[in-house]
Amino acid sequence: MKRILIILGIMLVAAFVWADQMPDFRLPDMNDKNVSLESLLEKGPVLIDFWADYCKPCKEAMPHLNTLAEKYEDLTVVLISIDKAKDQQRAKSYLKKNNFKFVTLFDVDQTLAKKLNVSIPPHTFFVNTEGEIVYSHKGFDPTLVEVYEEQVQLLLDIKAEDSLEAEIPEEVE
Amino acid sequence: MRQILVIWLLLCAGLLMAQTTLQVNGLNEAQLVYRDVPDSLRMYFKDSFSFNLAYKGFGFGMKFITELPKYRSSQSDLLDELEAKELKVGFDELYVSYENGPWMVKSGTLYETFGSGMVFRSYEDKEFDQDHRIKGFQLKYDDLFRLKAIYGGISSPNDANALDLSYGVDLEYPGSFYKVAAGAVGFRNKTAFGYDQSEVYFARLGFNYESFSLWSEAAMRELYHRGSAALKPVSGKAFIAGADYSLGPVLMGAAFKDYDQFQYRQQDVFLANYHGETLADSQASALDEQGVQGWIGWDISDNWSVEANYAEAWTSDDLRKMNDLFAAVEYSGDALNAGFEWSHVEKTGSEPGGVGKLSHYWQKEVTPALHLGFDVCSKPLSLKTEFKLVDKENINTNYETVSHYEPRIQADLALGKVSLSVASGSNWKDFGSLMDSRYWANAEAKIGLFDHSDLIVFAGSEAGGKVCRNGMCRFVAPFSGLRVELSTRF
Repeated sequence: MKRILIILGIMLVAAFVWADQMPDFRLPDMNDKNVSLESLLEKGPVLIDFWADYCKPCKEAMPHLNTLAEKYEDLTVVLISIDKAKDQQRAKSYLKKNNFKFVTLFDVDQTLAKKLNVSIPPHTFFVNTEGEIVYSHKGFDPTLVEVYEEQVQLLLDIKAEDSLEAEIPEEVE
Repeated sequence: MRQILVIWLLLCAGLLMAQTTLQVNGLNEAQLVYRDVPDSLRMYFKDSFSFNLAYKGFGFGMKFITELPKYRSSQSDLLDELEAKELKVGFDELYVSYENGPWMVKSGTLYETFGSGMVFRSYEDKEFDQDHRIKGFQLKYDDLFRLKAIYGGISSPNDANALDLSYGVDLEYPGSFYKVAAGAVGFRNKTAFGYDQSEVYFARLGFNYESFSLWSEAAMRELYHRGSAALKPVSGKAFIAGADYSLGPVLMGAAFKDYDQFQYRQQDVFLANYHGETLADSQASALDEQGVQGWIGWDISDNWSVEANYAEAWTSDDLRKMNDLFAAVEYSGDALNAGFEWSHVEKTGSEPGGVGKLSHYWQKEVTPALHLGFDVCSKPLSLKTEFKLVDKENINTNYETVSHYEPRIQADLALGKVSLSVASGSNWKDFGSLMDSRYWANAEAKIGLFDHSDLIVFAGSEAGGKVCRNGMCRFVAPFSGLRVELSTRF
C-alpha cells in the first residue's frame, strides 16, 4: 500500500513538472473539413479558445481575440465550439454574422475538451510551435486583454516596443 | 528503501525517455461544502480527479469521483433531500483507445452523437443531472468518408440489474460543398414485462455554398417487439431542416421540425426555438410536435447590432401550442458595452384531466433583461438585471390567472487575479407579499492562485441552472451554504 502511494506521488510530481502538451486533434471546421493541430502548428503558434453559444463571456472575448488575430499575422487564433450538435447551427450563425478572422472548429462530443479537462467555457490555451501549452486561462474578463497580448508576444518572440512600432504608421516623406 | 529508489529511478528514466511522445493532462477539483439543509450531513467533501494519458496512439482516461453525499440537482426547492442511493464513490468515466491514421477504436464510457443527436446521442446532461452515457465499444474511420460504429449498454431505469442496449452505424460522405449521410441504430430496452426492440433508419443532407447553407435530417423508427402482447408495435418518423443566408451584415435563417412517435432515451432532439423549450411541460419531446423557427441578425454599424428569433410549435391535433421569442439590441463602444434583451415563452393547450375530460392550461414567461459593462477606477464592472414575469392559469381556482415576479440583479468586478461577483434574486407575488417572499443572495470570489490553479469561494444561496459569473458559464445545482472549490489543471 505504501509503495503504491509512493508511486502515485511520483507520477503526480512528474505530471506537474512535465511539459504541458496539447493533445493531437482533428476536428471539423465551418465547412465540415477536418483541421488538425499539426497543420495549424505549421503556420506558427496557436491560440485555442473553447467557447459555447450560451456563454456571454466567451462572446465578449471574441472581438479582443480577433484584434490579436488581425494584429499578429504569424499567430493562428482557433475557436473551438463545445456546443451540442443540435445547437451547432446557432453557433455557426453567430460566427457567420460576426465575420471574425478565426479558424473555427466544432467539438460536439467534447473529445478534445475532455482530453484537456475543459468543462467550463471560456478556456483559453496558448500553444507554441512545439505543441506545448505555455499558458492557459479559465474564464474571461477585460483585464485579461493585456495578459493575452503579452503571452502572444512571448510566443512570437516579439518585444513590446517592436509591437508598438508596428502599430505606428510610417511617416510619408 | 532500495526497492523504492529503484522504482523512482525506473519511473524517472521511463518518463524522460518518453518525454517527446507522452502526453498527460489532468484536472483535480476539490470542494469543501457546508450546506444549509435540515439534515445531519451538512458539511462534506467532494473531489473529482480526471486524468488523460496518450502515448503513441494509445489513450487512457479516467475520472474518479468521491461525492459524499450526492445531492439531487434536479429539484427546484433549495431544501434538497439526501438520498442514500445517490451516494457516489468510484469511477465516473473510464476508457482506453487506440488511434492509427484515420482509424480509432475505443472502449469504455462513450460520448457520441450521430448527426444533430436526433437519432442517437450518448451523453451526460449536466443541466438536469441525467446520465445517458453508454459503456461499450466504438470504431471510427475519418478520411475520404466518415464511419462511426457503436455498441454498448446503459443501466435500465426499469431494472437495475439489466442493461438497455444500443448499437448503430453512421456513414457520411463529405463532398466539396455538400455532405450526405445514412445509417441505422437499434435499441433493446428492458421493460416491466420483458423487453422492447426498436430500429431507427436515418439519412442526412448538408449543403454549404458561400453565404448559403442548408441542412436536413430524416428518420423512421419501428418499435416492432413489445414486452407485452397487450402493447402494439409503434411506427414513428422525424424530419428536421434548416437554412441560413448571410447578406453582408445581415444573417437570416429558418428551421422546421416534425416529430411523430419518435421519442426514446438515447437521443437529444433539435427543438427549433431559441430557449430550447419543450412544446409542453407534461409531454416528452418528439412524441408529437411540429414547429417552425425564423431568425435575423443585423450588425447595423461597428457599435450597434440587433437580433430577433421567433418560433412556434404545435401538436398534430392542434391541442397544444407554444411560442418562443428572443430579441436583443447590443451596443459596443470603447467606454461602454450595453445590451437589452427580451425573452417571451408562452404555452397553452389541453391535457387529460378527469375521466374523459380535458383540462385547459396556459402559462407565459416574459423576461426583459439589461446588461451594462464599463470601467470603475480602471477596473471593469459588469451589471446585469432581469425581471421575469410568470403568468399561469390555475385550474383549481376556475382558471384564475396567478402571477409571480422573479427579479434578479448581478454585479461582477474584475481586479486582475481576483474576480468578484454578487447577485440577488427573489420570487414574489405582489408588493404586499414582499416581506414573506423567497430571496436568494450570494457572493462568489474567484482567485487565480498559480498558473494552473483557481480557488473559488461561494457563500449564500442560489436557485440553480445555467449561471455566468466571474467570466465563466456553468450549470449549478440549487444550493444554500458555503462552498470552497480548488481546481488544479496539469
